[in-house]
Parts: sequence; structure tokens; C-alpha cells
Amino acid sequence: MLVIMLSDEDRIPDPPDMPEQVKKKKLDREVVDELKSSKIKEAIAKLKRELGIP
Amino acid sequence: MPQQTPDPCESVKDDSLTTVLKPVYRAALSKWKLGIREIRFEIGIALLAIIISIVAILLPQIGIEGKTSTLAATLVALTKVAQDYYTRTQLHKESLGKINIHYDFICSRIKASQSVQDPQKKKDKRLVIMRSIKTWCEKTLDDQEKYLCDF
Repeated sequence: MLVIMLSDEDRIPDPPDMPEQVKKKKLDREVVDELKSSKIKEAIAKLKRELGIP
Repeated sequence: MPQQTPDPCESVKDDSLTTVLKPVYRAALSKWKLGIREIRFEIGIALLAIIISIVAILLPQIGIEGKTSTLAATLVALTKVAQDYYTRTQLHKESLGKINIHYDFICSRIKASQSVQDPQKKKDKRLVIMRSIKTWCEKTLDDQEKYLCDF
């Protein structure tokens, strides 16, 4: 398991909480398409290569 | 029309992290905006019910004895609707503000990571950012949508 020692300046606070009622809302079609787009897939693949994630 | 605010990530030069971050941010905004739309719809229905009640009170067929208590009940309901609308809208506004702050924060971390010279430190910092974006994605999306956070 990869363990990274973080300094205070590296820490990223938790994202804002989202109530279940809001979380359950169905995403807009265009947002889903954006998350599934080849542009995102390419960016993720590039990041994984850069960070050495299999 | 909602006012367009400048994107704080615009100043970050092209980076795969921002490419992944932006749709996650838009997904969070989209959910909250749908929440606001739902509140407006509920408030609209409640106001319609109140208007119908007032019209019913004013109809001459209804007895005078019933009028005062019905009007009082309608006013109480109206006050409650107004309070509920205010509270829930404020909560949503605060949450939208927090989302923008969080997005801004991650953007600044991405920008900072770009100028790190030590390759290992740079890798560690960017790995932390990527995990943070994944966490945000998972905390935002519903169970059926979590497959979209596969990174």
C-alpha cells in the first residue's frame, strides 16, 4: 500500500457535505456525457501513467 | 439568468487534473441547482394551495363563522412556507458557496503542483489532488452514478 506523508500545506479539506436528498438527484445528461467523454478518459489515462498508477 | 462567475481554474494552464476536476465540479453544481429547482416547485405548489384556500374563503357560499379561523390557518401556512423557503434557499446558497471555495482550493493546489521541481514531490502532490477529486466525485454522486468516478 502506498503511503504518502503529507505536510499541512498539501492537505486538501474534505469536500462540502451533500444531503442525501440532493445527492439522489439525477445528473443532467450533458454532465454524464462529459464525465463519460473520451477527453476525460484520456486525461485519466495520462494521469495514471504520470503517477504510476496501474 | 444566473450570473456567470469567472472560473478560478481558468488561470491554471492546461492540465489533466483540471480536465478531470471540471466535470466533477459541474456535477456538484448540477445537483444543487436541481435541488433549488425542486424547492421552487414545492413552494409554488404550497402557494397555489394557499391561493385556493383564500379564494375558497372569499366565496359567498362559505359560512361567516368559518372565515376567520380559515384565514388565520392560511396565514400561518403562508408564514411557514416563507420560512421554509428562506431556510432551504439559504442552505443551498451556502452550499454552492462552499463548492466554489473547494473548487478554487483544488485549482490553486493544481497550479502549485505544476511548479514543483522535485519529481517525487510533484508526483506525491498530484496523487493527493487526484485522490481528492475522486473523493469529491464519490461524495457527490449517487450509488448508481459512482461508476463515473472510476479514476
